[in-house]
Amino acid sequence: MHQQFNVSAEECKRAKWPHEIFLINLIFNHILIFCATVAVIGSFPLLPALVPAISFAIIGYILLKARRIAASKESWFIKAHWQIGARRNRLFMLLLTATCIISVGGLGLSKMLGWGKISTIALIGGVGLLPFMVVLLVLIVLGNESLFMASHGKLPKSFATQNTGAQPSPSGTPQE
Amino acid sequence: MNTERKIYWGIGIISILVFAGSFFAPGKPEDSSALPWHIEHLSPGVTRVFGLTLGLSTTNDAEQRFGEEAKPSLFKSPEGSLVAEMFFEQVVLAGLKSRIVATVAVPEAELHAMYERGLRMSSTASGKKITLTSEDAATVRALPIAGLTYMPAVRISEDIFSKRFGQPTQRIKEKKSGAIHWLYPHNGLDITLGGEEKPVLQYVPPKDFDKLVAPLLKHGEIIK
Repeated sequence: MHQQFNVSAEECKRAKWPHEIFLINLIFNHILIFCATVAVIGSFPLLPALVPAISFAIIGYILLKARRIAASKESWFIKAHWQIGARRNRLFMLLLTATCIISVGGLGLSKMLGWGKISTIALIGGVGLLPFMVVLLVLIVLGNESLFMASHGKLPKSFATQNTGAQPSPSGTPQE
Repeated sequence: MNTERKIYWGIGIISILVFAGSFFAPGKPEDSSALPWHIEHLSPGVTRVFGLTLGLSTTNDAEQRFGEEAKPSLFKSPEGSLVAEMFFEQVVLAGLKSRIVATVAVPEAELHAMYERGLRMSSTASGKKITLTSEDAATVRALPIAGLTYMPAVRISEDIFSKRFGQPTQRIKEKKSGAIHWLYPHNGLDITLGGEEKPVLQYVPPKDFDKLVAPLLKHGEIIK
């Protein structure tokens, strides 16, 4: 499912960054900060908004940096991992935007229609947060896999097949 | 230190600080108006309980206040009198679970019209329950609350009531059930204590207190 490349330790280290930042966003921001801010929602009702704010900033950074790396003279292996990271973050951004719309829209709708607490929690939790948390767990697994690949000089086979021909790299030579 | 490393450690440190900080964050300020003994006297004969002004606040206001949707119903007593009520099945006030019934001030003629238009009738222990049409339910929601019946989910000892409300002006014992009513006319409050039963607190505007006491006097005896 993956292809081994002959890359330096320094390249491996640099290729790991998009996945490391992506994972720290998911685990520390979306789980740790989210739980902490929800715990104090009674005293600070707007604090949970910190989570998407931090997340969008991190996603924005990864997307911009990936574009900059793609136009730079970095090795093909590093570029490839930043591209994988950018692709995953773009997907995560869509998911996060949808969840934010459902949560804010659900709260507004509940206030407008005078819904009870249980119906509001059912809408926001069931339609917004629950699917988000499931995808979040899947993304953590995928992020960890990518991190492992980057640190061992590997790339997903499908990605490598699609891109090696187009962008050969001096150091990124596939090993047989 | 490159930017990625700064972001990595920055998020890590912020997360740990926010997480640790959440343990020291001040709790939600206690809402004293949610306490059953917090009865405000806005003007002579007008009281506010649970943040609702009896005779002025509507059930729409109560739904907003309690964060629960109420079930409207019309009741017909065996004597033939009609009363419109909104039932809140589960309300949490000041951390205490309870059920609340709001009696709605519907004009007598309108009550009869609602009874005629009623969708379904079922028998209850204390008479008949009529299901209202959606239009009538909306009308009831917009009318003021005449009284509130608060039924906490836990047993509360007499000592706590004495401590919080003071000694009642009068105590009436129901001949049939043996339940004792602690009456506080100045607060428009009747606390029903039935031995092992959970207490029931009934709030009405003090000016309407006599209407609440009249049937008690008829079917009970004054014990103090």
